[in-house]
Amino acid sequence: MSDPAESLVQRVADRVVDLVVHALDVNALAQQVDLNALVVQVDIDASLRKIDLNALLARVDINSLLQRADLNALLGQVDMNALLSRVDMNALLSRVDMNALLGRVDLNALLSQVDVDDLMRRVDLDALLARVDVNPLLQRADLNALLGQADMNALLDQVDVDDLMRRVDLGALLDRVDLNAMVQRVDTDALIEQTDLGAVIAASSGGAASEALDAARSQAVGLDQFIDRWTGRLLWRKRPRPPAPAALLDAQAGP
Amino acid sequence: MSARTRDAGWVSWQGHYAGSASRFLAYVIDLLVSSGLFALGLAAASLVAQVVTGHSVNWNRTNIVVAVIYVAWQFFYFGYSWAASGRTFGMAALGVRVVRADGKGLDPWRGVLRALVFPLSFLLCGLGFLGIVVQREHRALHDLIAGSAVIYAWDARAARLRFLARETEAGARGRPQPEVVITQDG
Repeated sequence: MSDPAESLVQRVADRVVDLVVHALDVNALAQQVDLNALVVQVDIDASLRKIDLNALLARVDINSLLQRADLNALLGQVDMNALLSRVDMNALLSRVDMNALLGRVDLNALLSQVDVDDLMRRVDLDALLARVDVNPLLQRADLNALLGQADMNALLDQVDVDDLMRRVDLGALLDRVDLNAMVQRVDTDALIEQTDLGAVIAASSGGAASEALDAARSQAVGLDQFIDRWTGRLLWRKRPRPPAPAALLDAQAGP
Repeated sequence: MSARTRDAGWVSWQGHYAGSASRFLAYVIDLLVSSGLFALGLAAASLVAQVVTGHSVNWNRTNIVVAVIYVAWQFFYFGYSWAASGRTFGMAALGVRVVRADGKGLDPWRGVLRALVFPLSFLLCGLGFLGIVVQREHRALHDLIAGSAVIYAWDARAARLRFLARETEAGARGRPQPEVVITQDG
């Protein structure tokens, strides 16, 4: 093609493009696009693998970007469950430096823009969480710093403790507790000294005869032990004596 | 050492083999009680005989008949007590009782047998009792023959609680109390 003709075609093409661009209603066009169908065709995992997410995210001013976006409208068009079901969450999250990312996000500003209730209603959390290996994620997160930002009192105010306790099977819980071991740890002396239990015991088992009998038996047992100890030394006894007959030892060992 | 300073090692001696001192003291009490009862019975019988015959009667244990009755009474006192409940009065006072060697309750016939062979331990110059001190299960000769053993049948832990309770009560009233100390290591 000769130069004048080529120049003419170029000018016509520019003009046509100019006219088309000015005539095109981008929003109307975007409304016609089925984002979900488009998203389905994309191999998101493969695409994400190629991207250095950390480097990319480091270059983005997330806060200003998030402030400009109408997150609710954008999220309203996306079938979150379908999208999330195709993402290998564990692989994706393993590549993200969670602490650095969270440190740069103004969570309060971000959350103030999001209709969390509407968003959460649309997400099948059970299915999502079933696919996430929470342990490595939690190991990498600085939970103390995160919890430091949270108003625990406000959080706990929202918890219906009574309802929570009603759902706890206390019987099963107590079945797992070794009550005997717990009782062994009780300082009985201190308990009696600091409570009225001593008065109750004294009232129910008092009496000079009982007191004398206890004292006599105690002294006799002390003497028994003394004789036993010296007999053992004189006889060079190496193995300890059995403390009680077999049947009584079994009974003391308990069920 | 004060009982208050010991907060560990307290055990209930219930079921453990009884030692020589407890058993000896129990026997002394039994001997006093059985002999006292026999003396009372003898005095009563003498009185009745004196009233019936009109003559002065003075029976004592030097009389061969009385001695035989005394020995029979001793057999009855110990045999019946062991067969019926596994313990005599003295044993109950000292908190010990007779059981089978394996720890189960004593059969009545074993109680009687134990009473019958009990004198053997005396007749061998008292050597039969040596087992209480040196034998691993504190069993004397008559225990070995009758298949029995003697154990503590009182709860030292309960006694300890009673002692503490009394001490607390006395502390509240400001009066001193004797100490009762039993620990696992004696």
